[in-house]
Amino acid sequence: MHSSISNFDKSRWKRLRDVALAMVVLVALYGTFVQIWSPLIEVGQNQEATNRIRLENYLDSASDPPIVLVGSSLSTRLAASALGPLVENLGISGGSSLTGLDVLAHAHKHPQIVVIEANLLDRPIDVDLLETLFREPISSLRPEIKVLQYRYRPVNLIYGLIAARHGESAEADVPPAIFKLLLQDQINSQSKLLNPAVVKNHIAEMTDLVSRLVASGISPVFLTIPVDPALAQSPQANQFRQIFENAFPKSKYCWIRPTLPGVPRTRDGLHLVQADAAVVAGQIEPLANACYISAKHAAASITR
Amino acid sequence: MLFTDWIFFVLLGITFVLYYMPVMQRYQVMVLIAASAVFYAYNQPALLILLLISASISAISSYKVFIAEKNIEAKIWATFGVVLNLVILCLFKYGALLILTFYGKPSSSNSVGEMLISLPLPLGISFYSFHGISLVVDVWRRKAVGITNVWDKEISAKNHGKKTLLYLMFFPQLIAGPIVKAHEFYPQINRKFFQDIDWERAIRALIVGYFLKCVIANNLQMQTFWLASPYYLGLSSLNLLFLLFGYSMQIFSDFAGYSLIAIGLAYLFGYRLPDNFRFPYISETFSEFWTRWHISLSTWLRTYLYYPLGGNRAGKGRTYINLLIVMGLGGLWHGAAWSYAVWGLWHGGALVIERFFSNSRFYRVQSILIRTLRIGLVFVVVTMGWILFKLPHFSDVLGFSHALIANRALPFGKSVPFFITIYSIPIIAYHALYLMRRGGVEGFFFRIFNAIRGESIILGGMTAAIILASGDSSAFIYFQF
Repeated sequence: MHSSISNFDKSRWKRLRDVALAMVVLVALYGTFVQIWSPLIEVGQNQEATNRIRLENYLDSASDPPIVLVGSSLSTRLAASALGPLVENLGISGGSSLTGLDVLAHAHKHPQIVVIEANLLDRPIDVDLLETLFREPISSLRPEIKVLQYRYRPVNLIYGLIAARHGESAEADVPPAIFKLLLQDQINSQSKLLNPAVVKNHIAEMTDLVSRLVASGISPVFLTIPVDPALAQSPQANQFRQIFENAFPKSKYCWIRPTLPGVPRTRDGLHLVQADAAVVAGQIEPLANACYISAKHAAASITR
Repeated sequence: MLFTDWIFFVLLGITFVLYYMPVMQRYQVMVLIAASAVFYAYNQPALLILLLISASISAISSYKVFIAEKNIEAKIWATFGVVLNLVILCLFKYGALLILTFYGKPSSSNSVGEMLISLPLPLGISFYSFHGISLVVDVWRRKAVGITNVWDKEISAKNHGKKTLLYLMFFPQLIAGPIVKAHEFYPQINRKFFQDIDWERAIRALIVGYFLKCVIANNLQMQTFWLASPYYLGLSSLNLLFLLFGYSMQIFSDFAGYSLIAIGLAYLFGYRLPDNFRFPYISETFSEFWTRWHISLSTWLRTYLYYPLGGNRAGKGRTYINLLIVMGLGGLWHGAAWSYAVWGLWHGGALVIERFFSNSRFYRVQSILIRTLRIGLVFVVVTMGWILFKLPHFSDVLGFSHALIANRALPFGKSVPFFITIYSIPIIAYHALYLMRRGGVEGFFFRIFNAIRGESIILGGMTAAIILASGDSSAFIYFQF
């Protein structure tokens, strides 16, 4: 017995054909539009989108700056304008240095120095993000076919254009009462030590990635970004510091610690306010270069 | 496995081809059961055993009810089926909650309490338990009133077992509904033919469903992320209101999208699942809202809980209590946290208050202004209730509520409201178009719309948006239930 669900007829096929046609025309029109126009878009609709756009822009562009900064949201606070043209910021909001290092390990880029933010070690490699960035054939087609680029998703395009038009807007201050709440939240979360097995796993991954980069001629420089004094000596911060310094001892690796004229001013204890972030960013390139040159000299003198 | 995963499309393609192959026509039910088992077991294979146990309990008890010669025997088997389904649900879903609430965190790692806390939450357990209960109760009720139904002509233990497995496991509705009643589904289990597929309805449901999920819900999810703790602490009151509004749109598009995808997929296999959403945000009353939101759950609760409790036939006081019980339990059904029960009571309270004032002028006047006010009131109360969904810890709900009032002086961030507005426009338009049609504003606008083949262009635009503007993939909100 046939089902009672009604039969199909030609007029319905026609309607479905119209739907398919409308879809093809719209996609083709949009694709052509961005292919021809292709404006520079640097921010997306949220932090994940901005992370992806930042990484795609780096991977797909022909430029190869000599210094690459990898890190977490602490690093994303360091504005490109303050870092200067020689430093590419691959900081990932909600992510960690591990993801940036992994991107660099897979990229066909040859910077001289990779500056590795060494404040946090609690987040793993963002496997989904990496898979999205390097998935074939999209990864190979992306530089040429603009519509495949994440920045040209319609909403990212609209927002990116608006953001570019308005430039970097001044950030409003966090009221003291709210700052107190946010700081307390950070103090609470940093008062607990992270599972040693997790940290061990993360540092093992970092050691592996760093050795791969060193083998390809990239020099690592470790960076500590100033944070609120209430967090600088938190149990978790001490745990991370100790693990980092054991894995990458100062006797063997370059470490840089940008300074601020006063007590670091942050929005929540961790993330620097714009003004302080700019001061820190301005020191990255000279400190990293100095460290790199002295390490080269030291290596050369040992060879001699 | 998600409906948005590429592996799902592979499974769907293989199942579809096998299902309609002439040589496989006799085994269509088995093909669907096998595909559903793969779909379910893909991430947590061990939990398939629990699903099969639950299905066996429902199949055996309903069969025993059917063949029982004495009423008492049928009643015992029906009770057995319902109770065991509820035990499985309570054990796996609420075990941890009950232990933590009444005994606190177990001190020993070998205790029963620790074991209960560590039990995994099987996907879709709330849905398949309710399906099992519906089956047993439907068979018992129909037998009790002497209705000869679809089962009695061809019932055999083997046949019934197979049909029950399909009813409970049918992959489009296995994880998150719509909840189909047994007496609606069983009559549909028969041989299906390719030429009978209702392509138009299937494709329309799939396009709208994937659009709601991938374009609206997934993108909104990237914004409403800021509702979580501690981020809300630093946002202005107006931003928090926008986020709440966005979450209201997100949860609708996420779940309505899922339901439409399920309905569209079922059409492809010749089955018709009930509508689950019908423009809920234009409801003028809370009782109307529950005839438009998650319709299959509210119908289930009404049929199997509210009416057996006495419904509204035992006086006003008892009706109010019944409403609170049903909504409280309905809330808890959504998740193993007391905040879900409070969410249910929030709605139950709204229904009680509304019923209490049902004869007031506010509910009798039919002017556009008052009707708009009623829609606004329902929307605001429903939206405020979603806080309990998004933030299952009471401390966060209180913190959020405090921030909503205290953060008035904080600067207004423009980007989140910008995106929430953009993604909400289709949902608002979807409701507004329905209101226009309902209000009889057919005339000029719809004539033009039809003349330019408006629906085809909109569906084509939605498909283009799925390709160009999908947000990052995320699980359906209702998967956690």
